[in-house]
Amino acid sequence: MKPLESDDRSEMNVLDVAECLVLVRWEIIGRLGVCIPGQAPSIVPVNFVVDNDTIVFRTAGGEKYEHLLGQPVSLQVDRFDWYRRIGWSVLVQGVAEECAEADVAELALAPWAPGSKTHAVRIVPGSITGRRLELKTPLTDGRAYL
Amino acid sequence: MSSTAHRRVLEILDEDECLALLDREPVGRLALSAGALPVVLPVNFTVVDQTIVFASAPGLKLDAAQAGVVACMEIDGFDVLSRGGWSVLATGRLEEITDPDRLARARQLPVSPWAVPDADHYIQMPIQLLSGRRINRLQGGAT
Repeated sequence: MKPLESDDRSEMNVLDVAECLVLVRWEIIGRLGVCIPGQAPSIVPVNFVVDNDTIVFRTAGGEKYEHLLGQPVSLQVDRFDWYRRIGWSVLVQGVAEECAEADVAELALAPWAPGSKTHAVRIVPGSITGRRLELKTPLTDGRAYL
Repeated sequence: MSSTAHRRVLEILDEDECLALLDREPVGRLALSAGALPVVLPVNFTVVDQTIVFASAPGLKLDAAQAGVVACMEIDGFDVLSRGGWSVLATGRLEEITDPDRLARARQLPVSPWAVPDADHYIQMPIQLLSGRRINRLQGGAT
């Protein structure tokens, strides 16, 4: 991590790829960002798994799926602490690729939404970036608790 | 895994429900296209008169606002145990707030970015499209 911005209270650090991947692996739900040329950008939550440093998720077939393939997409995950006003966010950018069923049969990919999600999509990351905003000094009084 | 354990229903949220959820969430994720690539960033925002407002330091978001690009803001919530959740997506065109009266009002809003508390550019996105979904267990279904 290297500091990016800082004030009296908190400090923004840049996460390296290994740190980002650790955080992404812990998450179940990510936000799929898609910007198809000529259309408004969109964000859809998906449940996903990390498979050999790639992102895999399921979707229904049809027009949406056809439009997704070959497109640059991103998957974003984050966590926040509202009280301390800190948190982290990781963005994986890559191209959505068709994924053979045999390659993902072992992965825990049952979608949360009802309906049959027969197609698996893989994002091979072109870039993985992340930031973490953290407090410079712990908020808790060291004398308190335990 | 029995099939009844996964009986869930996808509900469409109406506009009032979407606005109520947008009112309640302090942080959303803004998606915009940067060099043809989708970028998704967490943003501390509020809603005034069906317009999303947030503050920004100079950079990607402000450039997008000055260029008047179309973007979207997403909020969501999940329950891992029941594998349920909801999400709301608002779409509109970003604009920098430059009118002195509106700027003065924006400065009073609770949208100071966590990372850059002294950011003094304000961006608005009048909501043009609003949609939301919720995945729930089926009413009266298996527990």
